[in-house]
Amino acid sequence: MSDDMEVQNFVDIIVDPATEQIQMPNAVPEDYVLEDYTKRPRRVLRRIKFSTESPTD
Amino acid sequence: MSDTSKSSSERVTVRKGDVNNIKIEQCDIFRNIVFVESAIVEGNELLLSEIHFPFAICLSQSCDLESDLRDREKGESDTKGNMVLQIILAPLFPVEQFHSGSHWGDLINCEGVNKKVLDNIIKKNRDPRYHYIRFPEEDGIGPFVADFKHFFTMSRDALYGSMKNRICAIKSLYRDDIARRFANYLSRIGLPE
Repeated sequence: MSDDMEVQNFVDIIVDPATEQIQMPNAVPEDYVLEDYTKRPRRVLRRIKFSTESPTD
Repeated sequence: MSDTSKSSSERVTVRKGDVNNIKIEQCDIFRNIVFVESAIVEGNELLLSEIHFPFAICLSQSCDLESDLRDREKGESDTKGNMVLQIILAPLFPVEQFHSGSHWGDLINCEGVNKKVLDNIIKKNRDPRYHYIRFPEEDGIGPFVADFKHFFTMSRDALYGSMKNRICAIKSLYRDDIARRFANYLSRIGLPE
């Protein structure tokens, strides 16, 4: 099979032979850390200024 | 990459073209989801309010997600309106946080649930508002409680742009159960006492 590549992803990509659907197994990413469980939802407010200056030569 | 999958599916190499077939499925679980709560222009400033969810679960129907991707890939004109703009998600909370009532952090004040309620109601999915998801211990994730009440939507393109944050998918039998319970929760009718 030409042009095959093993997908390098944080989760293995596998194909269900029964349905031929690409599925993600219940495998955690390599960089998954338990610290995630200490995080809570949080609100982040951002203030973004538009530039009102005209470009000069 | 170590093989941590316990799935009965066969691991195969994937052709380059198939990489583009990676699609979001109903009940895929994501981490670090950024939800834009509001965007308000004031003078020459944009005031952006975001809520960052450590974990979230996709609740949009798989058929909608599939037809969206299919039509976009084929480049068909959107005459049937199959392309979705927004994907439904609900926050997921580690069960320990939910038990203590600290799961919303500073956003929403919550009370914890006592162990009896947790074990007999929540973990047995007897409360229509919540769904308890437990994974095999060897998977190293969860368990979680999904809160259907606080579902939100996110831009389809933004969620596809966050695919690196997808943790896992859920097998179809359990997906159907979650989807059915979410639909039941939304269709509940409040009656006066």
